[in-house]
Amino acid sequence: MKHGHWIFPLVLTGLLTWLLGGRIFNEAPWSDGLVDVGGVILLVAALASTWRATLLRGPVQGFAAAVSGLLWVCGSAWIASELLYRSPETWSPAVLVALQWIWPALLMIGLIPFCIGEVLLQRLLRHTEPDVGMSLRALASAMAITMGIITFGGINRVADLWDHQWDLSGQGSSLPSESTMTLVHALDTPVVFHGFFPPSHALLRPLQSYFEALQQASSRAKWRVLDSALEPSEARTLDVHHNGVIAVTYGKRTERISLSLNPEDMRQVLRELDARVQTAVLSVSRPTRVLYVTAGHGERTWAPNPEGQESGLVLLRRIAERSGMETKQLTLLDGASSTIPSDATIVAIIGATAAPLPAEILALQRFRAQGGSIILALEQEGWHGEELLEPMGLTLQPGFIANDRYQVTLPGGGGSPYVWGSSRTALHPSTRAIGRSDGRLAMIAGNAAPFAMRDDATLAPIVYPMPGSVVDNVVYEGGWIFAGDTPSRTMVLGDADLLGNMWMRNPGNEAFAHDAFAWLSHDDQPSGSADISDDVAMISRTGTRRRWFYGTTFGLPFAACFLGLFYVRQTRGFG
Amino acid sequence: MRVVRAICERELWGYLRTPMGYGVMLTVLLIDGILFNVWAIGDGHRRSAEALEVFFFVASGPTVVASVLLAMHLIADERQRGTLIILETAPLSGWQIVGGKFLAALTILGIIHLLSITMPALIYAYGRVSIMHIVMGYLGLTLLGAATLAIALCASAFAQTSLIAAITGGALVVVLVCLHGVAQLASPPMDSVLSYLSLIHEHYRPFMRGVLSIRAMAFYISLTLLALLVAARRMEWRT
Repeated sequence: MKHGHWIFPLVLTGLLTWLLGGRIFNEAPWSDGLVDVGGVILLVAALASTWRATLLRGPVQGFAAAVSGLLWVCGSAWIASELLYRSPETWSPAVLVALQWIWPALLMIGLIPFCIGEVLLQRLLRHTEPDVGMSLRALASAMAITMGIITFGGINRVADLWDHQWDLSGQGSSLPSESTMTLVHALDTPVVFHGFFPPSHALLRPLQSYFEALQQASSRAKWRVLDSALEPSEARTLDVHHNGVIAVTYGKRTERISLSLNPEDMRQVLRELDARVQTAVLSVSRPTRVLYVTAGHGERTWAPNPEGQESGLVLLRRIAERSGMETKQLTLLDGASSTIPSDATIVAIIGATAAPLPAEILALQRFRAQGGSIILALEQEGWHGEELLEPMGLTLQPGFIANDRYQVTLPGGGGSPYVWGSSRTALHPSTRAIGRSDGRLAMIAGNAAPFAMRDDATLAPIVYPMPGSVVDNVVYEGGWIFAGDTPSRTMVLGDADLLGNMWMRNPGNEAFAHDAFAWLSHDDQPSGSADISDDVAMISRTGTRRRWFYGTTFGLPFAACFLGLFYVRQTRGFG
Repeated sequence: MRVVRAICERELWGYLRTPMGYGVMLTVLLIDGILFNVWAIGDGHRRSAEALEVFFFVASGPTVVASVLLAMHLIADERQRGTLIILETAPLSGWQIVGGKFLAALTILGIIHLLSITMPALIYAYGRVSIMHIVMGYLGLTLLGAATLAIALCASAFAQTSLIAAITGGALVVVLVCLHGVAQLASPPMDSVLSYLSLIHEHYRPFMRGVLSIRAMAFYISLTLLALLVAARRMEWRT
């Protein structure tokens, strides 16, 4: 400790500990504090190094003075850059970014040679005839490596900011499917596709080829390219707030398709493009769908019940409207006793306590026969819907479904076997919300009555709770069934509360209702799949595959290596 | 340049006149072939572009391992055998020594890649991929191999024996490969810095998909040059 050899590392370690400790324990920001502390470290190191140089004699003193001189230069540059940064308003953003990069660079230029110089100094002091030349070369190496690291950081920063990518795979094109072209061709009025993209974006070229093919297939399709930054008023009109969106306009209706602008996602975007375009065209071009909820037989209504909100249908109405449906009420006064309104897509009878009139039943049967959809949510204590269920081959059974394994814990603790959950459902293209949840959403039901299905029933259950979730052995006793005998579709529920506000708050029930509306309005998933650059699967016959395996794994590599060995042996021999 | 070429030729013959070079070559091609048939082609239902992408992904592993194996003995082995003194006392700069050895190892890696071209060629013949997709894939593989070679060469310049060089070089490469996972645990801004430094995940993927990326190329080339600089300065420090 004669020359205070350990002062510098101690000072440095103390400062760094203070800095990192502050960062780790106080979660202080890296930004301003780091700048000040970095400058302090450099200056303290420069002062200590100068003091150290004064304590030494001979050629070693010159070496220490060189290190301290370097630190003084770095420290001074640091202070100068920090003073410049104090008034950021006078400098352009490019200068400010450059200044931010100067600080870590100066810190490295100062401290790495300082640390290496210190190690070398320790070695020099141990020798009676120190080789200062070698130490200076080592110091120069340290400086060069430091500059290399800084250059590495700088190059990568610039490359990160100015990154450009070119997709040369030849996979960047997509063509519309036959079904999309037929769909667009069948439209009455033109459908306009407004693509909001930056002018030179890589995705534009394949999109251009896709929509040009669609335009060629049908004069109904129009394709326009816009930039939301350059044409903000048009973007606002179409409710588009950024680039990467295709607005599909048909008459007064507009649907938007959001696409990723990341070039790496391009292939995935193109793969899904046709299905998404088809969904959007279907959505804007289909006539308005109307859900009628009957009243006048003690049914649940939109309004909350006088005794509380739990059995009201407010949430169900909101879900229907979110699914793009118009909601109306249908009473005897509207003429339900004789006919169902022609604009009706779905008629829902939810929790009727009294049976509808024979004329109303007849009207409902006629509506079904013409392809209309019906929701029949029954109550054990109310009307059992025999008049409508009998022709379908269904009967509401007495009693309630109980399940000990899948019962739901109720608020306040405890559970009842009559309140159960179902997360597994037979899937159908229209059950998108349930399907997407991948079994995570459970539909909850309580006090639901089971159904029995006659052997000679003509209708086919399409969506129902799967065995192993609600009931283990009886498939159709799940309390709810989506069933259809073409072209009509009917959803039957063994408990009207399933559609009430209480259960509809559960995300699983909400998804269930959403899918039910999709299914009942025949809004099945479109069949479109993009034809991406007519890429093909690598299917080959077993014999060919075997040849591929032996050829690629053993054949050529071994042959090449043996030839190489033979050549070397012939020409020069093995060394 | 003549000196670099002479050192390169000397090293190259060193590889080709011993079973070591052929052993590495055969092992890499064997693993590449198995992974290609089992993983990239699989049950044959993969589309050709995807199969090619998977091939370049699986080929990155053997390439990285081969690079470490090829570079481990470049300097450390000579130091161990006492022949490094010949180079150190010769009027050669650190860059010349390191450059010549690096180019020799890179040539061997290039030969391995050349021999593995039968696999993408099959995909090209039976599928619908472009030549440029294959070119981009091999460019990425070469850049990745060059960066790994340079890192392992740097470890070899510091190590006393080939084994220590292999362990140190391998560890460095593994750390760089795993940085992407570490980045998931770090908080900003360190997470983006660590993720950027990740050797494969961040920069190799565009090449696998046939995408030419300035950022990825800049990373691999600058990392290679930095590692070679450290190795060269280390050589000069000693002389």
